[in-house]
Amino acid sequence: MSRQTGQGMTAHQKQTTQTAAGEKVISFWQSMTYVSNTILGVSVLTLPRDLAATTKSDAFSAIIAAALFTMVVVWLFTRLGQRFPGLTLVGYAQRLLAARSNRKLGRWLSLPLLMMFAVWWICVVAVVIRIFGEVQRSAVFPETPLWFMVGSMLLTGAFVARSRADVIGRLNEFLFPLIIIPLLLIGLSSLTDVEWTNVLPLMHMGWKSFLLGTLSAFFAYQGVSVVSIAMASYQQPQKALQAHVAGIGLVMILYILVTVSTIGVFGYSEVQRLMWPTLELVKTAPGIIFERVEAGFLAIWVVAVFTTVANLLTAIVHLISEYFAIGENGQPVLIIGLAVAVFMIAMWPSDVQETFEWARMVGLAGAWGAATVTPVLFLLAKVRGRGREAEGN
Amino acid sequence: MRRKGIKSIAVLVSAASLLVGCWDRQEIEQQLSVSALAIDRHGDRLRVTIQVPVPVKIVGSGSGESGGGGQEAVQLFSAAGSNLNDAFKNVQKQLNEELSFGHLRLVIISEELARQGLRDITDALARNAEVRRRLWPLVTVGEAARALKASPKLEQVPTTFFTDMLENQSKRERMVEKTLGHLLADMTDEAKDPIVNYIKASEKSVNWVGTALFKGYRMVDHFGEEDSWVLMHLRDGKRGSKFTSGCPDGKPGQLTIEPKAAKRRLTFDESRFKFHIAVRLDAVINEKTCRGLNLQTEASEAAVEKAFEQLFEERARRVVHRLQRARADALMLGPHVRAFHPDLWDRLDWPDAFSRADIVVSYDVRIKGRGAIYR
Repeated sequence: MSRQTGQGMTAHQKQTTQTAAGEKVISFWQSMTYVSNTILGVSVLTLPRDLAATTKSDAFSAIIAAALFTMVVVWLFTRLGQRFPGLTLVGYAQRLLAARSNRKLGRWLSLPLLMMFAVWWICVVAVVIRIFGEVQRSAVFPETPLWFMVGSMLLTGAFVARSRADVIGRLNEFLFPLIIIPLLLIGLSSLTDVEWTNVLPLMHMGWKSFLLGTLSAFFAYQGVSVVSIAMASYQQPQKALQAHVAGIGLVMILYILVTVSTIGVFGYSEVQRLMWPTLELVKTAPGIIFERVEAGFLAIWVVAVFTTVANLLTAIVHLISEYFAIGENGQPVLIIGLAVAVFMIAMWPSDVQETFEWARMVGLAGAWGAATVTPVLFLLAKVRGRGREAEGN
Repeated sequence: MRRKGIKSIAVLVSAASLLVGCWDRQEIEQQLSVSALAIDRHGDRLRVTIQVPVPVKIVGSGSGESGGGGQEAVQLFSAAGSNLNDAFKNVQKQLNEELSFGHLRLVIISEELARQGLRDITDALARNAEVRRRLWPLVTVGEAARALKASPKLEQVPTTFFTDMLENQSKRERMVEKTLGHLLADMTDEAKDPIVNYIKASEKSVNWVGTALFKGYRMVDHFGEEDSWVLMHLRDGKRGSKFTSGCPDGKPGQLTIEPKAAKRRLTFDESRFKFHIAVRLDAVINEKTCRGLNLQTEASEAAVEKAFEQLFEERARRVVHRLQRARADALMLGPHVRAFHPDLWDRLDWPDAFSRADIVVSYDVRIKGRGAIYR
């Protein structure tokens, strides 16, 4: 029954939006890695500093609170995706915003909403690759021009951005252990150096610093909204919630490990002073096999940034080409245009400080959007009774 | 058509990328690896001395006569400057290749400079991405450059000798394990104050003579060897090294013990603001020249334990007194209060509270062995 409606929807949707992903190719495991890899990017390097500055020693409660908030957001997106099987954000936004009879109106009304998503994702990619460039410049390549580091990462991401959903799924699945295992090892090997009095007291802070800390921790989870595009290609959308929550939970554990180790080793007052606290932790970590692991760590971290950039760019390309019905032939032009835009935004801030301010602004916009747009979409679906009624509850 | 065009562009770009060099290429033979750095005061300026290993003098590096180690395998360069990087710039002027600090293992700072404050120097070191946090900072009596001139022959490069010494001895808990990372963290942390190994240079080697106590960024005091070991008992529960005391019955002769294990337990009475540090020390007797003292009897063993407990407690009282006078908490009491009594901590001005706190030390020494001699 449900399968039938699903197929019916897909066929129906193809009429209106031309290129929506119809094939169900992304497996359960792949969707989990997709979420983890999208979230895990540059912020793992700066998160301990942001939290040390706001919540002092009590960082991990903020990380958990932010993860819970992210899970709520992703729950809304997942429910939306389950209500409209086989449809992406582009498809269901058009349906939600106007009556069934008036498709044209829905198309026009959804444009600002979809553009908001696209522009925000573009900004996230820009900030991510810029911070990536800043890290490389300050840590390993002092002489290499910034545009090269930003440009090469962007180029690599852009090559992937046209890929079909199954390629993206497999890419994430393949790179996932490469990202997670080294980070886990770094966090765990540093635990021996942790002074436990540095990570105490717990739950000793005002509401203000807790909320500020949660907000900065939430910035580190941004990007989960890409599931609104990818979910249309899931093999088992009914199990998507478990996959998404597991993906976020995994990142949460990693964030806790890294942050607690960093603050435990350096103490919060020192962490506040460090530009890239996690990198500093890697430099301090007792070598397991090699004495200096930071070069290796950075090489692996490049992969983490790459998956973030690739997943976001793919989502942007999909969103725009689905809405404007851009086919195979038009996509390269679209990608080149996108890459130029991202590059320009990324190169706009004049220095690290300004980059961090931009990152904060993008993060704030994301938090604001997550807190308003997503619930509104969800409520529209509920109130207007759109989508499949047989929700698995 | 269009696809073909894109493909040819891709091929062209990837071919062209092979022609591009690397901006940050730095061949290993084009670097001068600084292995140790000494910083002295020079009027109101700084003088830095760097120790650079000479590759051809190191055994196993192919041609050339290999030297016998010590100063033959290294070369020293020195220059003054208004700050650390200005001095590095002036050293660089004497050198053929680029200075590199990636292999820096030892930073020796003169006491004079340390007493003046290290804020600017640690800032310059921490800001340099090449400098490792696991290197060893040392404070030396007198001129720091002199320590780099010491010429131990047991290792090819003197720096390796010294870092081995520091690593081994701190593993055996006879020197404090305080790396640059610890120093930087302790300097910024308001709840604790750093200690650093304190050395004195001789011709052949350097001699560990205790620890330097810092109040924030400034060195304020130093402790001799035995005081340092007591400080290590009180601070981290590390065991220190051998101690000698007179005979418990007051007769001529001496008794030397070696601690084998130490344990520190800190309790804090919030209402009376009283700290109690209890140290448990398991030791063995290494040497006994006390005539007539028979270690077989339980009473005499207890007397020995008592004698050492008094000795340690007496020293500990003096150490604590000096710390309180310096208002420098090297006992890690601040982190304890902050971690377990956060509400109290928020109301405290810690240096002041520490200097007025009631700190009681009690030792529990247990003789666990007396070697191969029965009596």
